[in-house]
Amino acid sequence: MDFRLSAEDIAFRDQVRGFIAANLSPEVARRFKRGWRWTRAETEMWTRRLHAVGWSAPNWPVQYGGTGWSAVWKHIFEVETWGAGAPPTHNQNFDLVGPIVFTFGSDAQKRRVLPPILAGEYYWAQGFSEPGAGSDLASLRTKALRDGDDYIVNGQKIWTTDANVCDGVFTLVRTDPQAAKPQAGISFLLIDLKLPGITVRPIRLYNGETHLNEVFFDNVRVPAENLVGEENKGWGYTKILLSHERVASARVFELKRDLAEVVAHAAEAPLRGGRLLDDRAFHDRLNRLQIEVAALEYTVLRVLTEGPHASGRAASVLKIRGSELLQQVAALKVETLGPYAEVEYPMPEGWDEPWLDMLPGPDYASGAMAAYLQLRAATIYGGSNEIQRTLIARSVLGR
Amino acid sequence: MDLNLSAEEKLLKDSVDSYAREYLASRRKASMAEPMGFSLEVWAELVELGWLGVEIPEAAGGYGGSAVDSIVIHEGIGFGLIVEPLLSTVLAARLIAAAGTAARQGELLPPILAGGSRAVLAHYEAAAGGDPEFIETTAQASGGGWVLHGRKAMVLDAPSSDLVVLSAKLAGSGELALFAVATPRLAAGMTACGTIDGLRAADLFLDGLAVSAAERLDGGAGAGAALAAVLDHGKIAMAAQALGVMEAALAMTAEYLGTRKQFGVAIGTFQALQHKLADMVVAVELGRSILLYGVAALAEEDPDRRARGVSAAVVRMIESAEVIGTHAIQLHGGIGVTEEHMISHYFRKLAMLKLRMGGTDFNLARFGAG
Repeated sequence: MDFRLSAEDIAFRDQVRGFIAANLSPEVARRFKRGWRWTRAETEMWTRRLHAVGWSAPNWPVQYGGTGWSAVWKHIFEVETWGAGAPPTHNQNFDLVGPIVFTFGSDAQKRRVLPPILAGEYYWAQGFSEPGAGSDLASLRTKALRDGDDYIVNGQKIWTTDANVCDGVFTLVRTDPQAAKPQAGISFLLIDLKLPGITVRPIRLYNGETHLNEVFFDNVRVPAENLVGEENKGWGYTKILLSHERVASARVFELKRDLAEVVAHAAEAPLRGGRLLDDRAFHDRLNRLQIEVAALEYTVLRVLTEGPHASGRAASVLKIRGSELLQQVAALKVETLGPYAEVEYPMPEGWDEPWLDMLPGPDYASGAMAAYLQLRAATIYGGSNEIQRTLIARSVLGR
Repeated sequence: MDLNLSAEEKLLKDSVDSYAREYLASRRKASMAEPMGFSLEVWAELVELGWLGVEIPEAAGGYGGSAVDSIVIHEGIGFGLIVEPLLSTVLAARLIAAAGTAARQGELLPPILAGGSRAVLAHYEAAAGGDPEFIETTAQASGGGWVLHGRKAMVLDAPSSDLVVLSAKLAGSGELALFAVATPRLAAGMTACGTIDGLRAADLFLDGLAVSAAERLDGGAGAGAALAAVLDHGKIAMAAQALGVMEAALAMTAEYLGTRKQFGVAIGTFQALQHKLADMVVAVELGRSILLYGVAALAEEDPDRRARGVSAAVVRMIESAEVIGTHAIQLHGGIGVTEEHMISHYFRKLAMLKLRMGGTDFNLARFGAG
């Protein structure tokens, strides 16, 4: 073991910092300082800049456009970009559909799907959950029936993140309604959202955001060449994909950035003649969370250095702890707002309005509260924490 | 000792409950869509029902109800998520009644009690951390009146109000003084916004606002003690609102566990979820108990003992609200965080009430100091 960064590591970190300084616009960073959700235009621009130097997919194998960086370099890259307030690259592209396609897709699919992802040109949304299939995902009912060279898709997806701004949706669909086990009749199908018969309806969330959607499929003809891997094998591919999602769901970089922001905000927040940062009770809560995030970060580093594929159990540990800490750090950030935690999140269509600069309180107030509200869902999505705990217990008890 | 409601209190509770249920089912949305963010028609009904007058002493023209009447009403306001600015006006009116000179009471209270004028109390400041004794707003004597400097943070219902009661420290003596100022006089320094729970609030920036002697509310003594009592009354009212919200959220969650199916069965059959529901029941029970403890404390003659008991109620109620809010959304899954689902409205209301009651840190410290 060696806990120090090498000279090469430090040189790499400086290179990343130089890249950020040259490519991250102050306007985008300002929006992030406010904690508002990124727009597609912002993440597209950032992905293009990264792609220009071959950095848009650090976690992919080199042959598909990855960087070949060590686990430590990937970690440095994430910490630096998140810390600087860069928009994330589209997670559903890089962590979810991309790995599925380069692992299970045909050569033709790899050529068609991967380059536009790397360049930030085509956005995919994950269409898994349905109104009746949440934690019990295998009970999904959206049907895809083969008809000549096409599948005909009927059904509904829900909680489809960013479908309202995406170009395609990667779905789990039922191709064999007669299969002995529900898991056995499910396939992985790529669907272009511009196809006739698709309706995307944004869901207004309680924090004012609208990035989750319902997606309806009414006799949608999807070319059969969009099937990934073999028919009725989609569930097996997805188990691997969900475990990717859970490793990503530790979101350590985000936690570290958010804690740094809490410290900065608390240093500026006045409290009875002093500042919030010096308040004993607040400071104790902050320190405790810093220790918790350090423990999670080292758990992630252990998993990453153990190899490319985390065990299911490790993935569940990261999901549980990451989601809980995101909620706790968000709550602490809200504390730095004092009474301004009440300020409502502005509608995205009004984000360019000058009156936004005149809302009461610090300019990050509405974004911090919106994030706190949104993160209540972190212990629900990506496999609820109740499900994760059951999985961990089963893996320990061997049943 | 008898912790049951009396026959009259039960009658009030039945009437409040049925109004709150009806409001939630069929009127709240329309109220929120009104230009001011609430309905003047509903406001008139609440005044007519006596919900405003019952909290004002008879000597001041109200009906002189008890603290129990107050929590019965505010539980209903919480349960029905009623957006009309009742508590804001109640607190301002109680302060006018308790601290106002006879002349100003006679001038201000009748229109308020008749429902024609809505008042708010602008006291808390951003740096106070929930501490009502921390004010930096000053009043400097000038030509027979005063000049005010300071900023009042997120004054609930201020944008739609007719009258604002402002607190300030007199330059020199540091004594607390109150001013009742017509809202339009504050327009230049008012920054309004919506709140997370669908209400309207504003920062009031007092940048050298000149107030006349006629705008002074109090007669020069006892304003601080009156204000402290009113703010404690407000905390218990908000705690009662929180309890009403919690009861509604618990009932809705229990029903959902019985109807939502996954893995072929109602999700309420899973022990992991049953235990969360059980914790919610415990939270509501303790919330109801500590609310009564807080009501008892309101009757204390000694302000320190009153403050200590009120803060105990707030701390425990926040603890309960945390459990209810967290579990209610978790057990509902994704639909729990949508604008459309009522659970999300209960969560937001609880989050705001926790804050408006002064938070845990301040109240815990005040309990310890009392």
